[in-house]
Amino acid sequence: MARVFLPAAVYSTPGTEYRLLPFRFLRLNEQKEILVNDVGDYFIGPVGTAETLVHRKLSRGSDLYSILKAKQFLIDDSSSPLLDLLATKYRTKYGFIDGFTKLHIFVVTLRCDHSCHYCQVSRQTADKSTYDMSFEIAERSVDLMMQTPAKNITLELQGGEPLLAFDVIRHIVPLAKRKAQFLEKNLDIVVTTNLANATDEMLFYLRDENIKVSTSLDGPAVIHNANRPRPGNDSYELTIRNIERARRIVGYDRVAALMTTTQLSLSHPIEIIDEYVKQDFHSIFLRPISPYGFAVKTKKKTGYGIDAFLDFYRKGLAHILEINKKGYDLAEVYAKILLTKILTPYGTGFVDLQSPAGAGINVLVYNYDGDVYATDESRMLAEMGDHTFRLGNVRKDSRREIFTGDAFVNLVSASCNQSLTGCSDCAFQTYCGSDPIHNHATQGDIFGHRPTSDFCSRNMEVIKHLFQFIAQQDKEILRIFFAWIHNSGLKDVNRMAPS
Amino acid sequence: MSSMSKGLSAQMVSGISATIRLDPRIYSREAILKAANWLTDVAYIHCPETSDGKFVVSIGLKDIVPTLGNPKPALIDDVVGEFCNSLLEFELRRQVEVETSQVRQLIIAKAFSESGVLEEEPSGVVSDPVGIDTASLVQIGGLAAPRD
Amino acid sequence: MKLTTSGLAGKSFHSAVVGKVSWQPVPRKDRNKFILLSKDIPADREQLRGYRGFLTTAKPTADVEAVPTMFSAQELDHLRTNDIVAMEPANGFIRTLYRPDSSHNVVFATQRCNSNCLMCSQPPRDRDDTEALLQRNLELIRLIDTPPSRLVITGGEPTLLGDRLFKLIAALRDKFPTTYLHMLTNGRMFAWSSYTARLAKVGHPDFMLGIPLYSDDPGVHDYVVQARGAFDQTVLGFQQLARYGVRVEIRVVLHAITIPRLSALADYIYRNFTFAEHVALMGLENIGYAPRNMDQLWIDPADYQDQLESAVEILSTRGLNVSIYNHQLCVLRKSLWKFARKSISDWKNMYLEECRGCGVRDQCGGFFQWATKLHSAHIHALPAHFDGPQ
Repeated sequence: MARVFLPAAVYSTPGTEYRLLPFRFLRLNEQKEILVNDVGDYFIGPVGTAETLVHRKLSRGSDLYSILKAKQFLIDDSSSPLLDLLATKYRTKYGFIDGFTKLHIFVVTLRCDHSCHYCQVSRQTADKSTYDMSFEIAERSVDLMMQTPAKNITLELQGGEPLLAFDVIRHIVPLAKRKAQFLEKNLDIVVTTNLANATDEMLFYLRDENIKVSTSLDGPAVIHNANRPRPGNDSYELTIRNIERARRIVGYDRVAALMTTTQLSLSHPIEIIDEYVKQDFHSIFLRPISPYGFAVKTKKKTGYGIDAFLDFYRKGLAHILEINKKGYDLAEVYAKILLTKILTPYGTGFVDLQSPAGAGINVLVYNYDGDVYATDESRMLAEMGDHTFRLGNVRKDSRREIFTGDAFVNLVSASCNQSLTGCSDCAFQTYCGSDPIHNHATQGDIFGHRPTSDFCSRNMEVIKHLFQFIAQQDKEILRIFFAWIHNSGLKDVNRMAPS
Repeated sequence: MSSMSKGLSAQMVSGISATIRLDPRIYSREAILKAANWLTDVAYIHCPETSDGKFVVSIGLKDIVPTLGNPKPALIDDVVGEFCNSLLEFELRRQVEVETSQVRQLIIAKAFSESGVLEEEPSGVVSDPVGIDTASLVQIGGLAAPRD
Repeated sequence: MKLTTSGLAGKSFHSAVVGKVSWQPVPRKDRNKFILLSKDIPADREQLRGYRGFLTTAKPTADVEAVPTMFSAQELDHLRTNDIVAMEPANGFIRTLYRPDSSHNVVFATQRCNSNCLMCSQPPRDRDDTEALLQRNLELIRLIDTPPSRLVITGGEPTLLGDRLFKLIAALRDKFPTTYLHMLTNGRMFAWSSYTARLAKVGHPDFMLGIPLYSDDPGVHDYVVQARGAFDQTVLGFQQLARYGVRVEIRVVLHAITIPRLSALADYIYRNFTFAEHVALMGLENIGYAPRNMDQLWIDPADYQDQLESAVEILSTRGLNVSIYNHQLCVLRKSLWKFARKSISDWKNMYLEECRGCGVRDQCGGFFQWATKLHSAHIHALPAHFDGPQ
């Protein structure tokens, strides 16, 4: 039989009714709305697009129909087999849950020599034996950590000021490494320290044990010193000297900086960012103020706190983009996390902005006294007398008891934004997250109240702001965004493929 | 002052409160509650009561006088307008939910099952324009018989 | 560069023969692998004894042939010693199957196909040749001495071999474990997980599939490949292949039907097949079916640079490897030059009159032979060190 060529009409299916696939929508502004499906595929169209789609006013041969079908907002007879495709994408999006707890934070001591305004745990002259993690607790904690199913784990040594309990660190590190090797797990270690007490000997140890350093840099001297007072008011100068020393000894790329945002910081985004550039850092995290830093009595959605942060963030992001355009690679981490969720098929395991919430599921905190907490925030709550999120104690409780105990089970019940009021309908559900502990701390219950939630308004506004950039389809900005997402330099984006 | 649209009539009771009557044939309880929920930061909302067959929603502004924490309190007109728009959007969302909740369950079940994704044999045949006998390939390749 | 010629089969030559060719006499102990080449017939027929075959430009004689013989070959000058050739008495064809000094050797699996692409460069024939070609290819593999750096399995549609495909790949795996193996396929058969599982099980150490996808719109893709349901099967095939860890490359032929939705396709590839190792955007070849359908297919490459640039931007920014094949540099935007490959085999390419004096000729892949009949209206020589906007 001779082969004949058939016309295009033969291959497009007849006009049967289409069916909807799950999606949510949101008005972005007067003219535009955004539709987002369960795996984060989005479509930005004129206001009324969702209505057109839902009320079956979409015409079969139209470009809009093809786009919405390709992005899996609708399904018709010719695409029924592709539900498996959607399920696969769903699995990819939630892949970060795989392996369960990956980040393990060890609070090796509560002692600290600083008294930063925003910190709740400083005990300057406290007794070493009372406030350091004992070797016994350290060993039990390492045991518990290694029971996690995850193959790739991160051990974060924190405090107080962890270097004040260097002997505890020296006890934990080889033990953890031995066990990791035996269990064929990959272990990354990082220490969050102000470096004020870092001797050369300690830095050599960090280098030899392949431990990364994360330190605090709140901005130029004026801001850093105001945030982090110490006798002599030279926290900034000391930090800069120590960063230089740590880079030299531990390794230039093994020292990262994090800022803590205070009221003072909010008025100086440019100066803070410029300081990071001055110190040759290529990553900055414009974080929101922790609720412990300023009293959140007001329940206003558009209260002073939120507006000021958003203003700070927008100005900061604009400045950072300009810096990138001029040839200096600088990634903004909050944007990077959200952009990864928006622009790629993947989710991210950033514990504070994921659903299900990272608390317990992806992160666990082992306190100096053996108590185990779901997050660092929940440990801080305990310092203030609220033990709601203490999951157990390494001396008394097995892993099973910790993860089946009331504290954890209750926490998990509020961990998925898919089932939270307000979130369940939100277009940004796939990009956002849930934080039951934050809700508890700021609003009085783990479920939270979206209209008055600063977590909600902040994330919604930042996501909207990022979509403004995305919708422009500016080539240069998208390249910068993807350089951030892929942790690469801007000049490596669009490089020639190896043949 | 009052305004009317299909199945909805809003009555301003004073400069700071309003009553809205909604026809339950057009607006679902679910949409009303959800739309109302988003206003609870600026207003007190009375849960819908059914009287003469209509839902009655009472809205009362929380802040009237400007404060440092809230320099521009919402106006009752804006709040009512926002509520009505929001209502329509939540109705649309409800319809999407009704139509898609089952397929959503299916997708999630597939996504998280041990082996559920991509286990089904595809429908259709590895057809070809001139009807090559793919049954012979079935024996050779050990494929499931093509359905058709 | 010829790969096929023809001649007259000798009277007693009935079954096809595959063998290595040699212009020089071969020691007796090795002769059974070789087909002797000569412009004359040796006076002493004993000289032919032991060879697998004899191939000559000389006219046939009345004598009984000592070995399978093909006379009156149209030409033989393209053959080099150690090339591997098939002599087909049924139709008189003399096909070069393998050239050791080429990096573009192909293993031809079957001429059958279950698609019928509008622009197919190797139009299918509906004859079940799968067993015969499997045997031929197995013999080919036996005859190759030095492992080539790469081989491509092509057709028709190789998956129509069914079980035989796994035998073929296993033979290549065993004899040439360090040879990179590429296979061109429409990928539809891989929608069936059992088939994909078996492919993965063969465990070839350096293996990749090249699978075309022509649109994010199923109707458009199915129309281009002229098979209903092909899009669904190909997409599911990709998913199964990823699931079983088989490497894939995605190919798109650029023509009037695929260009309009090219950016949407780029986005679709990124969102759904992020695991693809490579995306190849290929210029249209004016051979096979293409001339017949050219009125629906032709678009001057110079006229689709916007869409091409946008699609390449989408893919490469997101970290996918992209290459542009079969395009000349003078019609490609300068920003796309770094993605262009010299993809036309050395023995296939040529340049036009317009290329005389072009300063970037060395970097440019040139044209296929058929380009004399059809090419962009914008071909022009560029100065050396060309830096201007395009």
